[in-house]
Amino acid sequence: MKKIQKYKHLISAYIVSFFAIAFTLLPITWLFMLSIKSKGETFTKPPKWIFDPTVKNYIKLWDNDLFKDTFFNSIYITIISIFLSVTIALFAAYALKIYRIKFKTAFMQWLLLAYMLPEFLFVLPMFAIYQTIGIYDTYLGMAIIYQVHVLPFSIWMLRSFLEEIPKEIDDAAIIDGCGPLQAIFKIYLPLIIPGIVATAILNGIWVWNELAIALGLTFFDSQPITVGVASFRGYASIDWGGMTSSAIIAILPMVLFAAFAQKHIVKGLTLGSVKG
Amino acid sequence: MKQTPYLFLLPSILFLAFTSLYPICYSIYYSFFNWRWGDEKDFIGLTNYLTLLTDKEFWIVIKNTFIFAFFACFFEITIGVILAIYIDRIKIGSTIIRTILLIPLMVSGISVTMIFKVMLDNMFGIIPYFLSFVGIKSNFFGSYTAAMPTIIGLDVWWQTSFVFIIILAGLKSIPNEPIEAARMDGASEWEITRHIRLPMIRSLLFLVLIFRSIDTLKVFDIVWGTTAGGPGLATEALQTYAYRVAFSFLEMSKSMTVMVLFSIVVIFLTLLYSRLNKDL
Amino acid sequence: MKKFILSILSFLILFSFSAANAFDWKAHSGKTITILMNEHPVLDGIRSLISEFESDTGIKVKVNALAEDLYFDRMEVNLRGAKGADAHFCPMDATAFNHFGAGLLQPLNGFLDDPSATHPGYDVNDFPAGFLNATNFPGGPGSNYYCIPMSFESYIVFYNKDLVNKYLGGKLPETMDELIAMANKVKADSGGEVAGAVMRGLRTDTNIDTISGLVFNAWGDRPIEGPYGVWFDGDWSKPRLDDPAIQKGLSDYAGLMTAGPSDILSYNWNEAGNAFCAGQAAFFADASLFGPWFETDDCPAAKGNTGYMALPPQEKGGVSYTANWQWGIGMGANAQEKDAGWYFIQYMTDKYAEPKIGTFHGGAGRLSTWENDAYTSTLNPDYVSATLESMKTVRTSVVPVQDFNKYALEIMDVILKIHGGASSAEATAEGNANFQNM
Repeated sequence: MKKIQKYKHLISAYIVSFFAIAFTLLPITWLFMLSIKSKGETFTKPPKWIFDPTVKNYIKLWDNDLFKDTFFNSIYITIISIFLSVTIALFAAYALKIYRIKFKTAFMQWLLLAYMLPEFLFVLPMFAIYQTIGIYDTYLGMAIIYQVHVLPFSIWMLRSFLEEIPKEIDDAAIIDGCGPLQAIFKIYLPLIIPGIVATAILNGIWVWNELAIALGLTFFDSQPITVGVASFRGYASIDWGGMTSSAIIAILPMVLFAAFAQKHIVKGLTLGSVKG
Repeated sequence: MKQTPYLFLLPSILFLAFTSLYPICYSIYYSFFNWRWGDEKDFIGLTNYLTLLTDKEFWIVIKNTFIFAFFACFFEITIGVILAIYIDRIKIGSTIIRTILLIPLMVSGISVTMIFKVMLDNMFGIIPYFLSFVGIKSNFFGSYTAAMPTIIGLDVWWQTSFVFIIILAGLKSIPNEPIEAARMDGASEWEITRHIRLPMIRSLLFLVLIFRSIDTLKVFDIVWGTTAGGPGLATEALQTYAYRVAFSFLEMSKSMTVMVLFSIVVIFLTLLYSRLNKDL
Repeated sequence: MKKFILSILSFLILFSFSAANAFDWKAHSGKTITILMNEHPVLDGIRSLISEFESDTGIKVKVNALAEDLYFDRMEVNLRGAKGADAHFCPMDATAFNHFGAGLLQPLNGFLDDPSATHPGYDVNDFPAGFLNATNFPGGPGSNYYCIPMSFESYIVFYNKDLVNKYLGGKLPETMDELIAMANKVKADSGGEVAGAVMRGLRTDTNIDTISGLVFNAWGDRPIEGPYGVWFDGDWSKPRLDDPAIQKGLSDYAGLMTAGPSDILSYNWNEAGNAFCAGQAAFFADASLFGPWFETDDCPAAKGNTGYMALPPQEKGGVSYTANWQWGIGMGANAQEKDAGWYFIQYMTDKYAEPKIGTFHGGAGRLSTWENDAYTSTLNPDYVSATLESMKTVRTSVVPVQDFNKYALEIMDVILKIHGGASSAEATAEGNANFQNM
């Protein structure tokens, strides 16, 4: 009796999964289908199911100077953001774990507040000062402002991974006479590589997908791919070919991450949230 | 060295001060002026706040934002939890399912808008096409009444995975003994879920509430990319409104006033949540 | 003998002068310029000439093109930064006026008057004075031109011949009221399959030009005093939205919207143009420059099937009036490569390029271009005659006052209220009140 019950529950679970997967994948599939349709076949009523696929849209995208630039701009901005956040967070997380900090609670609270602040708040103030300092519309400028969101997250993540390291190792490090720098790089860093990877990936995803701040603080030189996709509305004809293909290119790296790094992502999301 | 901990924290503090304290101070300062881009900058005290708080338009925007946040959170959390409960039962293929369901979360907001702009387009979209078979003449982004639910739908498609992933992980980490014991006692699956599983992940549920609620209040990408706040003001949210005031009307001070007010709300909610979380 | 020597001398002097001031297309070879443009038929025309420009001048061009609503935002940011684009699309209206007032634009007379900077034969006065003066600030002697016109548009009516034949028996409206009635009839008779008319229904300030077209059509031959435009009665504190003619014009717009598709409230010009292009509407009242596009293969349902007419007059046999507006090309005061940028501007607006670019948008500015068969022969003759007819009674929709876009948005709000069922008297009274508060 119980066995049949159990199967009924399992079957309903698979049915629910099926629908969930369908809802998830169908829109993306449709987006992809549109991106390989030629212009005349996109705007038909009723929609065409059978058509000649073409990669013309993608080639046109790549020939379009602006879009190619935005793709690489995003890569540079993401890499610099990740590097900054992980490095700075590593030191902070270590300090929070090992030492007794007087203002620890206030500091953690500040991290949470900075993380939660609305993005547009930063645009106008930073616009002025970035122009003055000369980091407006630069990769570094973007990486710096992004720290307000990725740095707190990185600190939580790395701290929680460090917390999992047993106290014996801490004691061993002290006995060995390791200075803090040595300890970080020789002992702790190797132990939390998975944590660093998860942090890097999640930070990278957030930066890659960010729009509002990028709209305000980039222009010609460092426009990221999100702004590139947003620019893709041609006049009157509404360039669906360009829109959909650019959106697919923006999505692709992230989907690959999901496929290959899902374990890390999941761990990162759950840990990051719990420790926040 | 005694200074080491503070030295190690210094970079973080510097970056955070520059990227969070400076913008807040700058915004508060200029919210007391009447700064128009390329124009005058006179001190006018609290005038911006008074004008804004008595502006009918501003309250419509606030209403929209909170309605969006409420319904988006409600559906995302409900659906996410239900999904997690079901998929918790699966052992074979659970990784693949989880990976696939993770995908929308990885997509940028602007890409989400592109997806649904083409799918829901009144003339050439695939969904209106199917709906026409059942006699429904649909109008998603262009109708005063349907635009907001449509945007909510976009956010649900996009962010439900966040809830799902976290709750699933939580469910998987629940110890098996109490569940087995309850099964022995003849409890039904739903009773087990209601009385054992959910209470044990109470703190995680609160957590997703915190993140989703504040995140949905901050909505920008999916509104800006689709309706730009329209039709009329039907979908204008706080951040898209601030953007429009700054870049379309060039009213820097007014825009910063909006953001200051909004940030106060966010800060208040965050502190409130922190306090409640401690008590949980 | 003396005469001979004199003439040789003068020839030598002239020669040395012209050599010193000789214009050289390659004078800035090797430089790179950035241009900020709106996705627009004009840009398609420009794109077709970029490689020619690059090889003729040796200047490399980087094009940053954006959809229109994003373009307007970015243009503001671009002009106010420390470094800006070397040429940008210039909306020749109150927006340019605001930029001028804030010192954001580069005056162009310095280039125009310098023979080494502008090639002979450029002939800026080939543009009608009315077009050039749209950005001649502050106005009067000693002013400077700030933008060079690239395309003008007047507001006309496109109609789908097949749909008109099918639902209206081939009859065309002779008055504005007839147009509204017929458009609504098409919508009703087709059971909603096609729209009677498409219009821009999106709540934005940028519809003001089409709106002005319909309002001017109702205003008739009454004078309009600049700079107050039709919306103010000789004084900024005296808005007159409730003038019966304006009420009629705004109601006409709303009436056409009623014959539109169910989601007309989200239609900007892209969506509306797209709908007509796909054969989904019988009538479309908007900018003339859609014309050439409707006759391309992008629009199989409109190609060869589109009719063109001026806005129908208010009374049978009356005179039709409409508005005009221009896009131009300008340079920010913060441009980094001003001289090379000027080369780009003059290249794309001279007698050689304009007819070519003009075939993309059908709104060429130079008088010489309209006499150029290479240009006019590429356009549908009905389009040419409808546009030329509208040009006879066309008036500028520009109102040079700071923040006109706020008033423009309010005017659209009035139309939306009428479309939603309010009476034009109520809606315009409210509009007047809101104008006063601004």
